[in-house]
Amino acid sequence: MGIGKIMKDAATRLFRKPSTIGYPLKPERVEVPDSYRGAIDFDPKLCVGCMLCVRFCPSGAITVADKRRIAFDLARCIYCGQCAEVCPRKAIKLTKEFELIYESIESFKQQ
Amino acid sequence: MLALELLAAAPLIATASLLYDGVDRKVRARMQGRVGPPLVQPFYDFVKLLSKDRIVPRASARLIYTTSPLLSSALAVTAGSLLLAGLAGSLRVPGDVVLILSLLTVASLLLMVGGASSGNPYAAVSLARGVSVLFSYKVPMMISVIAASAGGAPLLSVAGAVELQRKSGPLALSSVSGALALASFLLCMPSEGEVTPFDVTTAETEVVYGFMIEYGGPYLALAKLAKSVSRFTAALLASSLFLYTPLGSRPVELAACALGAVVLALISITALGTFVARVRVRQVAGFYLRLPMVLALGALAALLLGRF
Amino acid sequence: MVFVSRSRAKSPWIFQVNAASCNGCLIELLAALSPRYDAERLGCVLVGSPRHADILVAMGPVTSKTLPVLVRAYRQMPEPKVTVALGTCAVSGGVFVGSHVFEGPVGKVLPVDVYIGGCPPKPEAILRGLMKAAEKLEGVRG
Repeated sequence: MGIGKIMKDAATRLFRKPSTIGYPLKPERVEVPDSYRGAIDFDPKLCVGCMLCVRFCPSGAITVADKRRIAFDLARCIYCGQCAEVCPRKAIKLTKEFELIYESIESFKQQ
Repeated sequence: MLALELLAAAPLIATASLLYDGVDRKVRARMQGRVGPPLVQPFYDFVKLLSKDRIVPRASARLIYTTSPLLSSALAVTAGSLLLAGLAGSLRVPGDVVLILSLLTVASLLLMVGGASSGNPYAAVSLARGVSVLFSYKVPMMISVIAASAGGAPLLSVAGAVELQRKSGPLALSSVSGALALASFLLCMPSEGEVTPFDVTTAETEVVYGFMIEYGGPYLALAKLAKSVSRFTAALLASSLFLYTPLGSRPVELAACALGAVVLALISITALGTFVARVRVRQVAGFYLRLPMVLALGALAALLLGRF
Repeated sequence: MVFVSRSRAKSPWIFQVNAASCNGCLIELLAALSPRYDAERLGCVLVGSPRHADILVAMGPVTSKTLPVLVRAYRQMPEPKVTVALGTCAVSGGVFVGSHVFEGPVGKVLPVDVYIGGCPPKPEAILRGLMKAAEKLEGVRG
C-alpha cells in the first residue's frame, strides 16, 4: 500500500461512520458464529451416567459429585466440545454464552 | 502587571494543550475507523495520574528524578504563557521568540535527563537518541523562527512579528522568505511534539517509552503535560509568526490564530503521525540536516536579499 | 474527590503479562484494542511499562519461569491497581494442572479482582471484563 493510498483511505475514513461495534456501552446483540463453543448446558434428565464425558475431558473440568450427578467447573473448561461430542444421549450442549466474568473463582462452578 | 498576566495565561495554555491532545486522539481514532476516546480523555488521564502513588526507583538520582518533571512542565508552561502575552501585545521585549524556543528546548532536555537519572538502561539509550534528535531539529526551527521575526519592531519578538503582519497580511502568504520558513517549521513540529515518524526518543516498541519508562503517577502526569504544552506552543508559535491574519478586531484575530494553530497541528502532527511509520535515529538527523535546513537557510537568504 | 475516582474509572491503562500463555488470549486482547472493538473508547491504553499501568492483565498458567516476572511486574505498578486473570489458564490452570512446572493459577500468586473465563475469551467479553476492572478502580480509595 503506497502512502498516497493510505492518505486517501485515512481522509475518507475520517468522515465515514466508524467500524466499531456499540457492544459493551450500548445494549446491542453480539453476533456469535453458529459453531461457537461457549458455556456448557447440561440436562441431567437425559444423562444415563456413562461417564464418557468425564473420561474424555482433557482438562479434568468434569467431576462426579455423587451417583449419576456430574458437575462442570467452567474455570477449568477449555471449551473443546469433546464432552458434547461423545455424549450418547446429547445431554451436554455448548451454548453461545461467552460472557464468563466473575469476581471469584467459585462462581465458575456449575450445578 | 506582566507577572499577573503570565499567571493568568498559564492555566489557559495548559488547558488548551490538553484539549488539543483530546482532539488529536479523537481525529487519529476516526482516521483509523475507530470511535476513539472522549475529547476530555487527557484530563481524565492527568487527574488519574496525579492521584496515583509516587514511586522513586532505588537506583535513581533522587533529587533530579523527582524535580525534573515539575521543572520541565513549569518551563514549558512559561514558554506558552510568554507566547500568549506576546500575542496579546503586553510583552514587548526584543528576542522573546528565541527565549520561548530555548525554554522549550530546556524543558525537553530536562525531562530526558530526569528520566535517564532513573538508572534504567532504556532511559539512558533514550537520552542519547533524544539529544541527537533535539540538536538536529532545533537548528532549522530556530533559523526559520529568526527569519520570520527579524523584520518586527522589537527585534525577534512575537509582538513585533504580529504587528508587522497586521499591516501587511500573513507572512507566509506575503513573502517567499515566510513561506520557506513556515515549510521548514512545519517539518520540525512532529519532532517537537514527539510523534511518529520522529518519536525515536520515546519509541514504545524499541525503548519502551524511553525516558518515561520509570516515571509513574504524578511524575508521568507532569511529564505528559510538559510534552503536550510544548506540542501546542510550537503550533501556536507557527500560527502567530507565519499565519497571523488581520481581521479588524484583536479578539477575533486571536481566536483565528488559535484555530490556525489547531489546523497546523492537525496537519503536521496528527495526520502525519497516522500516515507514516517510525524512522530510525540516523534518518531523523540526516533528514533535518537536509530539507528543513535548506528551507530555513533559504528563508534567511531570501530575507537578506529582499532587504539589501 | 468524585472527579478523581471518576478519572480513575475513565482511564484504566493496561499492562499485559504473558505468563506462559499459548498467545490465544494475547491475540484476543489485541483484537479488543482493534478498530472493531476499540477499547480506547473506555480510555484503555495498552502501555509498555508497569509503572504507567492501572490494570495488570495476566494470561496463561504461571510456570516456575514466569512466576518471578509476574510478581515483579505487579510490584512495580503504583497503587491503586487491579489484576485481571484472562482466560482459562490464568483462572484455574486449565489443561496444565498437574504439570511439574505449573506453579498454580494467577489467583494463587496475586490478588485477582476480575476473572475472565474462556479459551480464549471473545473480545467482547474482554471489554466487559475491563469495564468491570475499571469500576473496581473507581471504588479503590488511596
